[in-house]
Amino acid sequence: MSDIVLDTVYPHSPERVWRALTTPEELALWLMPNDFAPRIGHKFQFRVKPQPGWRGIVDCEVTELDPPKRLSYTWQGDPKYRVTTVTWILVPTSDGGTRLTLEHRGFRGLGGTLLKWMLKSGWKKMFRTSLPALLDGKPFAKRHCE
Amino acid sequence: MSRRSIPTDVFTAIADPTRRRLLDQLGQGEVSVLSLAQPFDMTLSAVSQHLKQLHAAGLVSVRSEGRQRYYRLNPEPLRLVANWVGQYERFWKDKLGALREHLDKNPT
Repeated sequence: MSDIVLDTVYPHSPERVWRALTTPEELALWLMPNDFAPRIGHKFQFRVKPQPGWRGIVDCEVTELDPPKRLSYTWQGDPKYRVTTVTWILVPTSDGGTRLTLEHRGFRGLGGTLLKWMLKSGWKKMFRTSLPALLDGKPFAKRHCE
Repeated sequence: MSRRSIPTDVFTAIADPTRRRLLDQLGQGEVSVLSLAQPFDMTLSAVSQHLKQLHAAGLVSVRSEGRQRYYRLNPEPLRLVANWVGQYERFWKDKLGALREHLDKNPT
């Protein structure tokens, strides 16, 4: 519950997928404009137009680089919040494609703790009743959205 | 405690284990400060301080009856946290789809 793990199979080779993950020009086409460089310790940003509630910048730093298998960078979408980590894992499939796993970790201590804790007994009822009603209904009070 | 240090951010409010335990108790319904403080090895004033912080974050509402103060859980701010992780999940699902389109269009 505290981390996001998604995986997808692409019919393209790990080398091809790796290039899409590590070339700034390609990254800009499917993810966001950036100044990424495949070098451990490289600090870079993803930048899009600022949106309500978000300045449009993600601060990152490359922490792991093992072509064409594994890439990690830190991910901080807001200086107020804790630094999270994005990891890409590429595994070749038997038919020449790639199983790509994305792990976005580090929500622990913020959202993660909350969700885990709410799911424990005692909160299950609330999860079934009060929260769903809230999630469907009322707009969020402005002061909590700062 | 200075006004400045009171967290109004729900993330900060729930980062503390004592405050999470208080919220756990409040999940059962409206509770008086006295019965909230009972299971804790803390002074009444320390518990009140934590309740004040939960109140500042909008997580509890308070009602006075005679000399007693009663606290009630207000789960609405929790929505922000649930949304935060959920939004990222949607974001990445979209992006993995965009990556597929990009690779299909540019196979080599």
